[in-house]
Amino acid sequence: MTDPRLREWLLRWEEGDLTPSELEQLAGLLREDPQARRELRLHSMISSEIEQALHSTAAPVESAFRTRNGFWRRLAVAGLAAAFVGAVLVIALRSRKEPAEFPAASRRVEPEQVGRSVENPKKVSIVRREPGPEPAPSPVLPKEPERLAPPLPETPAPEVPKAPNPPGPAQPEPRPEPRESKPMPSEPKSSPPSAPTVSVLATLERVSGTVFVLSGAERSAAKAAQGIRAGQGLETQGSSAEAVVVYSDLTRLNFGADAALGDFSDIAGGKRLTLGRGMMAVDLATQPEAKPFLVKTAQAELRSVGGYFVLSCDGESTRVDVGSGKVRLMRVQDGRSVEISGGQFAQVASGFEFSPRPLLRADKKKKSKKDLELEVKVTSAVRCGLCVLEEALGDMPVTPSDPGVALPVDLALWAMECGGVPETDPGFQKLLANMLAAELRLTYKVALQALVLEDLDRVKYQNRIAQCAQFLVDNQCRNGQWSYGEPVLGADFAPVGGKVRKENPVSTAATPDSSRGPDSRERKERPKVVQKLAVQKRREGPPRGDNSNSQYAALGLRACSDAGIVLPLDVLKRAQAWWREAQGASKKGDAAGWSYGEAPSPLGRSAYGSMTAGGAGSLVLYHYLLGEPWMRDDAVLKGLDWMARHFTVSENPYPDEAGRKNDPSHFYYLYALERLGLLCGMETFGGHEWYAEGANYLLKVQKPDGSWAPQPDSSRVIDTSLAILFLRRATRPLIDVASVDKTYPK
Amino acid sequence: MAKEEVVRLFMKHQRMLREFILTLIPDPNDADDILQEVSVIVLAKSEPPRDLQKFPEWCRGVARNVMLHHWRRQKKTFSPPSARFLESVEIAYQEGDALEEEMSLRRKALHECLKTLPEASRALLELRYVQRAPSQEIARTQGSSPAGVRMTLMRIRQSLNSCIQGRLAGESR
Repeated sequence: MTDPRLREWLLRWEEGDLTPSELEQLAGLLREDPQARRELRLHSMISSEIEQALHSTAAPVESAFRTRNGFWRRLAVAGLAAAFVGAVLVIALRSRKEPAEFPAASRRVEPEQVGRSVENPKKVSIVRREPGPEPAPSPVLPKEPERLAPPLPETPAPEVPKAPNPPGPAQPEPRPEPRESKPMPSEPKSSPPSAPTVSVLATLERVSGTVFVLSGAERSAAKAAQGIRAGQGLETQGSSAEAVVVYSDLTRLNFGADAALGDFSDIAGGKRLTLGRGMMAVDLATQPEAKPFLVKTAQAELRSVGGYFVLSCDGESTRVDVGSGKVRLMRVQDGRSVEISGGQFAQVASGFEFSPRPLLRADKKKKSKKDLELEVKVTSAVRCGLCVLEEALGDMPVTPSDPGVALPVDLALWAMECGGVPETDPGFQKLLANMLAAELRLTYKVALQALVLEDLDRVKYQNRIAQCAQFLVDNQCRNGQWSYGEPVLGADFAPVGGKVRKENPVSTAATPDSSRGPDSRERKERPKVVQKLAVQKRREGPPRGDNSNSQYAALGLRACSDAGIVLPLDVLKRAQAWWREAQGASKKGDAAGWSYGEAPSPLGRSAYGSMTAGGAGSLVLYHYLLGEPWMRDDAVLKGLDWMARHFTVSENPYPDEAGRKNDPSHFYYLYALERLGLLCGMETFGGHEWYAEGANYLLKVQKPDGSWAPQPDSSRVIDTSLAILFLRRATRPLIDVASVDKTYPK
Repeated sequence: MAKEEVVRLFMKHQRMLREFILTLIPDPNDADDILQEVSVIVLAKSEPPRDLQKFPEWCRGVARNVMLHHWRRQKKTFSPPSARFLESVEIAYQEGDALEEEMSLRRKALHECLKTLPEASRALLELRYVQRAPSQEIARTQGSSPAGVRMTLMRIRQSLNSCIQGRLAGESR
């Protein structure tokens, strides 16, 4: 029997009212149930025929309005619609002030609602096509001279955002009037005794997780629709905590996890508050020039009269990322101030130049409000994930001779490095010291070590990185792959053009680098390589390996190369040749992927997501190392096509192995996807914004304690590390790789 | 394949193609734009498959590419359906290719059945499928709930299905 939800889902899909999760369930149902597919086919036929049949027999009075492009008809419908919503619309528009950069539709979108139900403007009751005597159109229809005009206003007028919680007596009015004429609702129970004389400044629109309202020394649980009074503060606790505060002019403050702020005040009409710690996304309605919005932190004072920006503060530094508008940031220490415009950031921290600098995102464009909101959530999630790692690794007995334990440790160290844990952190230093003291073994570990050291300081650790290169070069299999590898004896490397010299082991006592802040990954100045060291291949590895070790070896070789290690050309070419050879034949169109070992074949294992993303990414890396353009390589393009066709973030895609569930390599795939996206400079695969979709997915499945481990048999440390690597966009993009997203795939 | 043959085949499968597009892009205005682009490609630019049996599948492939472009253009306001959903829909239509004759009879029967619908049901269908009013809007104007509107729509569809079955059974006797 067909699932009873099918018909309702189909109706809601037509309306654009299906959530992504329901759509996935619908897709699953259709795949499994032939009767459901037949139902879908009939449903579509009936919808199409109803539309055409009734359209052609529309009421005469209506058809009188129809013209070739439907303009007058739309105008007539608009008039009717306007009459229906007029009064509401006028009220809403009067009570609303929008910053120029953000249209009304983008004012407030719940993550769950991102999709057509909110944003799709196609809910307007307009018919623009001409009626015809025959329902079926002719094969080549004359193209209309002009496109449809922008949609008319929706029947529901733009509404002031309101709390999603069930309505109650304390819920604010849907369209709050200015404070002078209509005070915001109050919360008598949570107010201090003196509260009745203090006006409500703003309202808590949304509360999730553990959030407190602070009133002097008192602390009470925050509730949606609760008013915030002068002198009060807020505190969010835990990875899932979030609070949204809305002022009467629709200025909106969004606080992420573990934020503390206080001293809400309204001095002579200017909004003020203090941010003690955490992140705050501010969507600031236009303020009078004389009454700017003002936020104080321990290090800085921020002023703005409108725009969108994110302010973060960790006790030692303050940073602001500006999406739109302008922000003036004053350094408390010396009173110096800078103006930061949209697309720039500035930071007040020891060791950082205090000046506006461009945001260093891979896309090099101004961050949208949506991007910045996602960033707030991601930063909070990463912070909680890092705490999990530090806690887990602190309890873990790590000994250099225990590779089974040390593998997740090396991955965690890489995640901590990318997550912004300072090198001075005692936990980080302990892990780093252990890693440097241990013998080099296992391809994964050596590659990760090269990544960590190159990112930390490629000059200081160059010798150790050269040892990593020696391990990788000597352990390459005869077919160009890598297996787990065997330890190598010593390492011989020579300055390019100079004599071979014996290794010069690095000191494990790293000098603390206190200039590295929590968010330093994106803007850390890497020291210039002062000398290049050439490594020679000294032995042959085993006959063959696997594509998992091989893709991490490619990452390690790239790190070595970036650290000034000159790698043998033969090693790079052999590895590149392997990846080309190991690609499966095109099955559908131009798409072809990779499997764990030999080339995918009908008799062997099929191509799947993690290996294809890793394989295509590895090929791109070898092109980079060999100084060739990867865009001319058919194998890479076929791999990208494969990813476009089978893109998903909710699982490691195995298109030819239906029913594969609970795959422990899911997050391993996500990190491979991240690498491919950044190495190729692509923002989308098959029309999917891989980062936004992946990040939202990871935010959704993060556990309350801040960890990730979606499958019962997956490792908490490994999955949390991989999630952090994805969220932090750990892979450094290749130099001179322009985004090709606008032209590919065709 | 001769151009006339391509035109004939395209005419034959045009309704199926429109339904396929409408399944993935439920707005008929957009669906017709897509269909128009597909028709231009099929009739003027591309080389159709030699195997006539594969013509509908090939047309859907063209349509899918055009729709991908459409979604890319609209990516700021619309999240395209997943590859899994696309594949499921394609499978549904592949299976239906063999039943195209039956579908043609169903379409004809449906037109007759629509004429027998009560006026209130016709009005609701017109609101939903011609005016493109979502259930929420209809519910607001009728003082009911969106779920109630959808339930009514499901019942009307069910009655249409029964009517179609009855007519097909009557014709076959």
